[in-house]
Amino acid sequence: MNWHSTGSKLKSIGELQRLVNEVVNAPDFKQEDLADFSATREAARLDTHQDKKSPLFSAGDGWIERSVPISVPAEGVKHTSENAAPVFEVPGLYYRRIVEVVKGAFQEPMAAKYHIAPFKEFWKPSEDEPIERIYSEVFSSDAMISEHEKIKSEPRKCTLETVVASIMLWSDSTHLASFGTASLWPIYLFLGNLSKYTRGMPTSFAAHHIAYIPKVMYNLDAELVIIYIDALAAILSAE
Amino acid sequence: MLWRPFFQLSDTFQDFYQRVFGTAATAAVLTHCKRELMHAVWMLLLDKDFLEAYVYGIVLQFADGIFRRVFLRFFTYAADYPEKFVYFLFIWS
Repeated sequence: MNWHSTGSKLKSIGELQRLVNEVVNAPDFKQEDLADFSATREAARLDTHQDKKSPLFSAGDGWIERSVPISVPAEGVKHTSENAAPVFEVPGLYYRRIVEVVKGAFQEPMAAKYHIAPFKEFWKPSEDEPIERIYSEVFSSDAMISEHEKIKSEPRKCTLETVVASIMLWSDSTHLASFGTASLWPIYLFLGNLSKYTRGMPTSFAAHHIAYIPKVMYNLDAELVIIYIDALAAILSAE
Repeated sequence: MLWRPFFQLSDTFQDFYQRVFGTAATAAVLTHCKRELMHAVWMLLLDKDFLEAYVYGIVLQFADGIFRRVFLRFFTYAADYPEKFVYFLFIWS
């Protein structure tokens, strides 16, 4: 109990009980296993863990790994065309085909909650007040309604009902994962057919990951910090 | 420095640049290359399958057992990189 009430204040009674039940009192618990345990080292091992049988980006889940060629310019250097410029292969892009991701999304149990036809939503606050249009979801937006109507009215031989899969993309280079992929830049796909109240819940697993872009370029701010620290270290060691 | 290993990949870009042009890439070149990379990634993501699904739709069986033709459309793109949207506009226009 002394350990529990000292150090970090984030240790709850429940977690302490769990530590004792699941770790200390476990039948296979041996104190000598922890003889030269280093928390930092074990955490680093978890971060760099790459299991060949279940990799982070498994091909079975539709992940494709490849490098991306980009043409590189230089100031004051002229090329006859973009194709004539030197090409740098940026390694380590992981991505999934958008069509496969959307197909998969429509086959998940969550798809039962998708809105497949858009509509307008109205609200009458009280008997005396006028009706108000409510703008809240992709499937009640004018953009979705007009796209739905446009696709529906296009002439085609197929008589199947048409549905618009409203794709919403997110990408944020500052939004980094905590394990292994910390230097990657994710693009997420959500479907606007699912209500934002469901989509917004982390437990709904509504985010589909479509790409992890390698961060190959220098982060200039970080580089400046390194230069600054190097300079500081040089000054300190000179003194 | 403890942080150096994180920039290993970027070093290879600078090495490449140094070898080809005999000078280090400037901030403007790096910004340009970041955009080029993003565009190149989207060229891969918007592949032939996607364009076909965009134009003709894909037939999927829904949870109610009924087959419907699904058309993929982009509604929003939330990103910290506004230039990317320009790219979409010129692809679809």
